[in-house]
Amino acid sequence: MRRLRAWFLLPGATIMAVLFFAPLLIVVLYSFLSRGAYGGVELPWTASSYTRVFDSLYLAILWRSIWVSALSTAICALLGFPLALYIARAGSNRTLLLNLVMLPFWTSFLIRIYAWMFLLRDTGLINSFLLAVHVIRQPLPLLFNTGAVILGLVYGYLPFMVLPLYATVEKLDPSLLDAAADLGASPAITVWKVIVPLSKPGILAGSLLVFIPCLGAYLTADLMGGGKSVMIGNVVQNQFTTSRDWPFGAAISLLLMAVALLVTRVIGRKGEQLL
Amino acid sequence: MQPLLELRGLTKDFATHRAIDTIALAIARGEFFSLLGPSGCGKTTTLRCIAGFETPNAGDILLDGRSLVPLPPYRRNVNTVFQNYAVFPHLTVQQNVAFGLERRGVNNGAITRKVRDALALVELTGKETRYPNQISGGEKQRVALARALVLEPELLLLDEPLSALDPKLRKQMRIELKTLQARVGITFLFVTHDQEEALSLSDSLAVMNSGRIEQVGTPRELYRQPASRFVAEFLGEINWIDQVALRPESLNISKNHPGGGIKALPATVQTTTFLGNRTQLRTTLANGRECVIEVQDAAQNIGPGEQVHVWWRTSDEIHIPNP
Ligand SMILES: Nc1ncnc2c1ncn2[C@@H]1O[C@H](COP(=O)(O)OP(=O)(O)OP(=O)(O)O)[C@@H](O)[C@H]1O
Ligand SMILES: [Mg+2]
Repeated sequence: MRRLRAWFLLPGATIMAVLFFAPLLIVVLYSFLSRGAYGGVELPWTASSYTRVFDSLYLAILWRSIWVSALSTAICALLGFPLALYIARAGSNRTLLLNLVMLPFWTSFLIRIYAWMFLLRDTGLINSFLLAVHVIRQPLPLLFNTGAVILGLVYGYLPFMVLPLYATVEKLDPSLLDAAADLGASPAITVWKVIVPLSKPGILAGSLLVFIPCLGAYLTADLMGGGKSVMIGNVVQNQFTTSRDWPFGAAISLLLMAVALLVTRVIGRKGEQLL
Repeated sequence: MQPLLELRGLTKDFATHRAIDTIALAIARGEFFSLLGPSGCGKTTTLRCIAGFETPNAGDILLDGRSLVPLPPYRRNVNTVFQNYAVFPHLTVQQNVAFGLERRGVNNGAITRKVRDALALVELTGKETRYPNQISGGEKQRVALARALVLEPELLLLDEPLSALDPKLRKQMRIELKTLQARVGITFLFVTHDQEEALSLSDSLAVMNSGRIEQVGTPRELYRQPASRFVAEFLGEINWIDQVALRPESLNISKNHPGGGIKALPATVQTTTFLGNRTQLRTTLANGRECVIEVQDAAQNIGPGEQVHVWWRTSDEIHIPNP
């Protein structure tokens, strides 16, 4: 039996080793090497990339990335919770609604972000309409700012919040909700005092699934932020493209990973008491 | 005197299925009233209409003469002990009991005092800080009871509160429930499919059958004078002999004919079962019908295959209008 179990583990373990741990090891090695003149890495070994990581500029960007991600996660939770509750109560329409939540995955994320840009830009649908009906005289600055980045992140990651939330809310014993009403709790109080606390696992899982990818996101920030609202992911991307500083890029991505791990642990432990 | 609760023509349909059908009922203040019926007859649906979880299709529910129908559940001065307890798993025993008081904005001092008293009432003192997964089924049931009683509702609805307990605990809780009701003076509407429970606990009871009330009365009335064959058979074993019905304990047995003027029939004993305080004999009458008899004194050594006489007093005969 034990032997059989080990065999079942093998494919997954191999994939993890080859596709995850090996690249991670390469990133760690790169971060301790010197920058090559045309990209790439060279000897000698050095830790200088790490001293630069703690430059206040990058720490500021990291900090910004953290709060932008946290805010996006919070908005996802606030939007996702009622949606998940609604779907869980939708009876026979559940499957349809769940499919609608996942529908965006059918097209490329890039195309969907471009679609948003067409909506939000100065000559986009929203501004053109508002100008045409004379509500505004100047186009509203809807794109290329932090708000647009947050919008893009919330839009992109909302399904990752809704699905785990739905899974927990759907399993809630309906008689607990009846009991709450029976004891004098209005629907709003029931949500706050019974449903939310009992959905803790779903909220924590959803928050991790949204927060971690947000923290590393660069495409959304690049396109919707227009280079003006930089996230730490963009810094990493730049090191491997225009700046050609692979060791530094590797060092920052490891820092990013450390932050993500730390947040996972904090949410895992403190989240329990927080909610 | 005005009844505390009155149901008038209460009807509830689920799609095409009529779960309860023009139910009429009046429950007096302070009464222990049971709703007895087989599984699926609409007992829970009736309670859910009163508590406000279901909206009736027709009819009215009056508490103290005022209609409850327009009120949401959280505005009704009625509380429920649920069939599966529905104790909040994320709250401690104490917090569960305090839940309703907090919703009413009772001040903290009073909450602490009332919760303490309620927990003492159901003998849960010492378990205040436990979570529901750290207490037994019987204790959960007490939490559910305390949580409702602490609000001092005018009417407490109990949906088969004892059915999930093991038989011994069930008997014990039955007695406790009765004592508790007498002590707090709250009107109980108790739902059960266990006739023994209903007969032993209630001041009055109603027997339900597929969405309708068959009969309402005291346990004694219903047992002695059932209005229908259904009620007669649901409240305990019964024998049908020559257009009349007889409870097993109304029948006697002897080897010889009991004598003139006494109604008696010859029968053959099939099985005898010793039940401790009484003995049950299954016999077959001359017409081939089965007849069950329960006698106190098991001493008469009557065994299977024996020819006997079954006899009874005319006063014990139950006459059912249209059997
Ligand atoms: N939500 C619902 N949707 C459709 N039918 C329902 C619903 N609730 C109850 N019913 C039906 O209504 C009838 C009465 O159900 P109810 O739960 O009131 O029975 P009960 O007397 O409480 O039975 P039990 O002793 O098994 O708890 C049943 O036939 C049941 O299938
Ligand atoms: Mg029921």
